[in-house]
Amino acid sequence: MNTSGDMSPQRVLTPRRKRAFLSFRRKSDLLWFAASLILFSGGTAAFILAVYFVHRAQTPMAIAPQIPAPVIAPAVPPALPAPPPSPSAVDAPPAGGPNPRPSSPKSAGNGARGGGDPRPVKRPVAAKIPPAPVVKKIESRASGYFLLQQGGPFKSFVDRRAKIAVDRVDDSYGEPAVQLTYDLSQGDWVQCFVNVRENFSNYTRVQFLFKGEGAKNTLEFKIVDSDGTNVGALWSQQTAKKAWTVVDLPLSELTYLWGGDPLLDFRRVRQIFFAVSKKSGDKGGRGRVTLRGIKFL
Amino acid sequence: MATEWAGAITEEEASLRAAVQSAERLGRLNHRRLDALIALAEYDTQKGRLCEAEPLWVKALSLQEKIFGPEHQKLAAPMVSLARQYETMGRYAEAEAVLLLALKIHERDSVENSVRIAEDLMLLARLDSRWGRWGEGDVRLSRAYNILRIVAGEHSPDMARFHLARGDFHRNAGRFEKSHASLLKAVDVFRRGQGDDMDAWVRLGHLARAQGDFREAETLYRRVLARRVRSEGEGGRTVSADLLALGTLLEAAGKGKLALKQVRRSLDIREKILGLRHPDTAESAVAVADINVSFHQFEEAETGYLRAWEVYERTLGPDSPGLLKTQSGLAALYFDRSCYEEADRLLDHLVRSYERIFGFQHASVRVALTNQRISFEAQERRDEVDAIDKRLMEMENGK
Repeated sequence: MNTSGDMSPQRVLTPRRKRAFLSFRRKSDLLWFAASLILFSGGTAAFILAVYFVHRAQTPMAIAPQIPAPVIAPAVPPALPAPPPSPSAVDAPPAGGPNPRPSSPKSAGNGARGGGDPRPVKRPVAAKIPPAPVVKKIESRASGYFLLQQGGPFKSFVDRRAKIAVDRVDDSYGEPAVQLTYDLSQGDWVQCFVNVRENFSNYTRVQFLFKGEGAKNTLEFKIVDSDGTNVGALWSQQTAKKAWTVVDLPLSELTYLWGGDPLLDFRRVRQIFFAVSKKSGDKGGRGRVTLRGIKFL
Repeated sequence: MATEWAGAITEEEASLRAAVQSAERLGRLNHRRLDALIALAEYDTQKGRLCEAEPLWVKALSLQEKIFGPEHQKLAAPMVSLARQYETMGRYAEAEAVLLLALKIHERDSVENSVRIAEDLMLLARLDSRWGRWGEGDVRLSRAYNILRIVAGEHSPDMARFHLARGDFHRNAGRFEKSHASLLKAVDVFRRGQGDDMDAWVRLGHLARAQGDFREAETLYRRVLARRVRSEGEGGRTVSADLLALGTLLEAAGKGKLALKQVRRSLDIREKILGLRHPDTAESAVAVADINVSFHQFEEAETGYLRAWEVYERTLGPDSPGLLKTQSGLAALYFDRSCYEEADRLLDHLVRSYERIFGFQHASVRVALTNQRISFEAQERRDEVDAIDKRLMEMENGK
């Protein structure tokens, strides 16, 4: 029954060395270790990439990284035709609109990049009003796009060493507002913007209120579409007005500034800018502009 | 499995059992019952079912004792046969006791039974080698040699068998030179008498392997295998044994694939001619499992070991060397796989088994304890390791 001539059939166990953190007792252990390492690394990388792409898909797509510069104001009339403040009414702009600063092709070409827009810049009617009725009026509308409520966070750009701080605040009526605290002592412009992905073709007007303090400078409002077309409007030396100024501006009257093609595609609006710039006649220096009730109707 | 074993009863076996039962109806003391018992016992022995054959042999022996009287000459031969079976079953103490009784019977008429006395002495020497009693074994072999030299002559087949036994004894004692000389004498005697010297060559292969000369051993095994294949054909029983010896050698030499091929051939032959439930088949299955372990095919190996375990336990009983080897291989497998609970259970069982078979001081017990110590050390069970160290130290000091 024992054909192999083995008189002591017991197997002798091989003593184990003290376990190391990594031990490769067999050739295959090394292969297993390498395979495990590769699989773990691959899995981790795949997880990170998946998280990255999911996060990227959830954030609005930014437009081409063309940094818009503020509009250099064309020749500005000496004073805005601001009506005297009325505590109870908003002065709607007339249909034809009293245009305080009809822009000439020459003046537009002076300032805007890619300039040469022959169309006149139609200024909105600005009026000093007590805020409460206006706010109620705006909020009472059911439809529209409220930038401060529905838009994303504000981001900022500055010229050279100019400074800007963008703060979301609530005004005295509890309505959200955004406060731009700027310093143009070492730069010509500061601006903030919101990334949007909204079809604005259904809207015909933009409304907002602003007030300011500090130095007199130019406030600018701009809309950018997906191909980088910039259109907008600006209000020279208006940033020092401490009373609320209502802006009610037809979108069709926004002036082409630069970039893309001359026509803004309202279906693919990507960014909305507010800027404060120092142009001829402006003081520069420090100041603060508060915006609220920014709405597209 | 129990139903399979029950279902393995053949018509021949059934008729033999029926013959025993019908003979027992005639009374306890009759020759017909004796013949029927011996026939059934021989059948079971031939099938390798020594656990079932052993009580039949004992019954037959007690019957003969009652028929012929105690210590009758006719009792010696069945006693020797029973002793061989006990040895195969690992019941060495019982084997020795029965052999001593047979020797005593033979010695009463030493002139007539001188060759048988020498054979008894050779068997006792083999048992001595299992116990590690080398001095007593030497004395018995020397006495056997003197008897055979005088009675049978230097060149008789009995003397050749004696040289084989002495070669085995010396090899187990680690006296390789003496073993080699004895085996060469056996070859010489076989050649002079035109006898079959292949057993001697196989033992020379075993000797070369024990000396670590794998190449020489492989040459010898292959030579014997070729001759056996020529004489018996591819499917002979001894061919399967030679294939197994060659396979285990190749495994020890690190030629796993070749080893697996030889051992599988051996297993196939044994399954074919002996059946699945023969201990020799289990021996080949264990060898296949050993090689599977070296190939990291642990599930197949475990299945093979467990199958062999069952066969050994049912055929040869709990003390058989084959079963202990199977359990040892399984324990090593569990240890390698870090299944310490199972490994420890088996290693503890092995220590107890070897203590029961050989006593507390035997080298096998020391090996089993060392294995247990290695397992405990791997688990950092310091208290158990210290206890085993203490015991091993006592064994060294002979307490």
